[in-house]
Amino acid sequence: MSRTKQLDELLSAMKELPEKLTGIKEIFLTNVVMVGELPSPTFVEEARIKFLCDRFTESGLLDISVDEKGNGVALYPGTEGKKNILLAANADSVFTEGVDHTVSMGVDAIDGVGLSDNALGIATLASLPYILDKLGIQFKSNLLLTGATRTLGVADMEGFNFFLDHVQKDIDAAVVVRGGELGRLSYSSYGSVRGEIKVAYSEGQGWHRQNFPGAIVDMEAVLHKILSIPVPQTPKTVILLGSIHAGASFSTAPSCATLQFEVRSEDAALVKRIERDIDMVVAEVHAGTTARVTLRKIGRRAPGSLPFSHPMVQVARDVVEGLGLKARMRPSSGLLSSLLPRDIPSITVGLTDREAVSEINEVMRIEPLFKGLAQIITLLQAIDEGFCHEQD
Amino acid sequence: MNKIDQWIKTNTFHHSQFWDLLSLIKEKEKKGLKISLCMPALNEEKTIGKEVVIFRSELMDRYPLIDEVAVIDSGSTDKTREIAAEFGADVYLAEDILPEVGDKKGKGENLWKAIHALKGDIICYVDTDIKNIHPRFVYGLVAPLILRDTVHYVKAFYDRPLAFSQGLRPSGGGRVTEILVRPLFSLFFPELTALIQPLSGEYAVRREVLEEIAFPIGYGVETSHIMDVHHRWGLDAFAQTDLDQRVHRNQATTALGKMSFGILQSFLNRLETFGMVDRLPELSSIFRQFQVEKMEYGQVTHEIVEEERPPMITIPAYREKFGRPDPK
Repeated sequence: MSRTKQLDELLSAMKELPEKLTGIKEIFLTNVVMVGELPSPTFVEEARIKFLCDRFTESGLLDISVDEKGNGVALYPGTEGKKNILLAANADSVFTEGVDHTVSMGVDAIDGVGLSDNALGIATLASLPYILDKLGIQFKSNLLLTGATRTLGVADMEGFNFFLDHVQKDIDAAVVVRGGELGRLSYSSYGSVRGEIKVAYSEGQGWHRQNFPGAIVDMEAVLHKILSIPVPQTPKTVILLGSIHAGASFSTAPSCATLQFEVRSEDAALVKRIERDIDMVVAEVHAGTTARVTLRKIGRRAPGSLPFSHPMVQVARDVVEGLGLKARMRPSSGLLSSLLPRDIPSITVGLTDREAVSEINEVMRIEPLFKGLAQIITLLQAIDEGFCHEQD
Repeated sequence: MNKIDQWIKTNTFHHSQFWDLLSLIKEKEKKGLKISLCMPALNEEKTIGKEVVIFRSELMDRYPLIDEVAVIDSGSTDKTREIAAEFGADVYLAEDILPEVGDKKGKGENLWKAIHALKGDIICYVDTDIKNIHPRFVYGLVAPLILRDTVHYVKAFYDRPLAFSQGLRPSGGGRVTEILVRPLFSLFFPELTALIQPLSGEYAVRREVLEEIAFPIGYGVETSHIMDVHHRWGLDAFAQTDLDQRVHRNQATTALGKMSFGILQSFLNRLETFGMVDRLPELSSIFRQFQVEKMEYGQVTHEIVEEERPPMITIPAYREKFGRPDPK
């Protein structure tokens, strides 16, 4: 049988998968709830990883382990085991333990904090062995299922990079699972640099004097100059101002102000150029004030991309469109940024439709989930059959 | 060591002792037991879906510990029944069960009618307002009944935070227990003070016990159960399991006042039945609270009558369905 025909058959069989997958709805939704209700802020992901590893144990997976950085890993053995496909999701979340993590479920939708980023991804890893067994699907390749820790914020992929640097198997391809949105395909990652700018007055520098307006004024100067830095639209580039903190009340001049930012671009040279511009801004504001203005660089990532013509990208598009969806291509700032620079063919997919992303009461639609799962299973099958490798 | 200390040592568990569900299922099958889960509900559309999904998938599909998941609804006007059915629960309207005995409104009515509608040798009752639902709410309660034949009635207890506007308050709850029921038990039934949360809405009971006890249909159902089971079978028939945290809605103090009034009615009736008091005056069924509005003080009255359903074994249709002899 020709390879094109084989792929067509795979895509044709995929159309029946969502219907079949509704039979495991309760199993999957239970995992979403149980993962989603375990707070998992970056650096404190133990509970989610323990849950994930318990599920791996219940499914009889091999080599279940938690590494030094807390990543939870297991092997779903293939019939031949000559190749290894990584299926990964980040286990950490931006929501702290004090936030109410209760998940609610209606007939059509499920809501709670951090479901799309990324309780649904971890729930997929937890459910997939059960789903594959129920559907009687086997792979020739090993599946390496990985709940990645320490990926967000100041952790800057520390955990996932550790896993990739120390994993004992060669990874031939990777699929990254995110909660939303269904149809999303990422095959490139931004280059980026993250930093924290701090304006600080010490005692004696006047911040306690009457009529002294405080550190916010200096931070405003920093912001004004950063926003004046030219940023091209092509290649896609952005200076993302993530958070700003200063002061505590109406009537006390703040002695300190902090800005966290990230420069992202598809072009590494542009990241470098903007980084230099920000260095200049900080030096200039520092020179013109009695405050100490400093810049701490927290993380740096190189951009990476598969060519649009790469077989993995083409097959992933065929899979998404085969489910009647429009493929939405966009770069990723997540796990892909660790995988692509290591020359591991990788793609990020989304599971379902969502509303109120990253807000309290983020809503995830239930029915599209089954298309999302069908997409992942078919993509893994296509990789397993060698449809996604350039040399094939 | 006194009786209470001894009982706490032998009959108090933590749910983590029962993590090995496979061995629990093996023992259940060896003893030929069937287990039903009953969730009494009234307008719980926000939490019912999650409870049904988790219990069905974890304790029926993945680990076949329970044999049926049922919601007994008092007539919800929201989507409670629709959502529960969508996720695979057997949904009953309380008024449709044993229609010949009529319909009364109250949680106790649902619990009582569940004895007739459900088939289990053990019935596990779990309230439907729990936000942090987990399979432990069931396996933690049925496990002592599966593993120990002398135990008939297993109660849950918790370190229970109340839903609070700024996250979770680390402790609290159980106010009616601490200021009403525990003092009463201390006075009249000291052994029952060993039950850490006698009013918790989660418990698992053998059918042979459930069919023999009366059911107040309102607030007094848990208190009277405990008194009746203790009166007939003694403290050793009980066990209790620590289920860790239970997150639920907080109730206003005024609501707790009504609850306490109902509990007191059941309690005093039991004292009289057991011959522990005589010449109890006729009790008023009117509970009075007061409110102030624009410096006007006004009475708010509630009629609270703790009606009781008789032991299910006295209902002919039940005896016929389950092949029980007439107790007369």
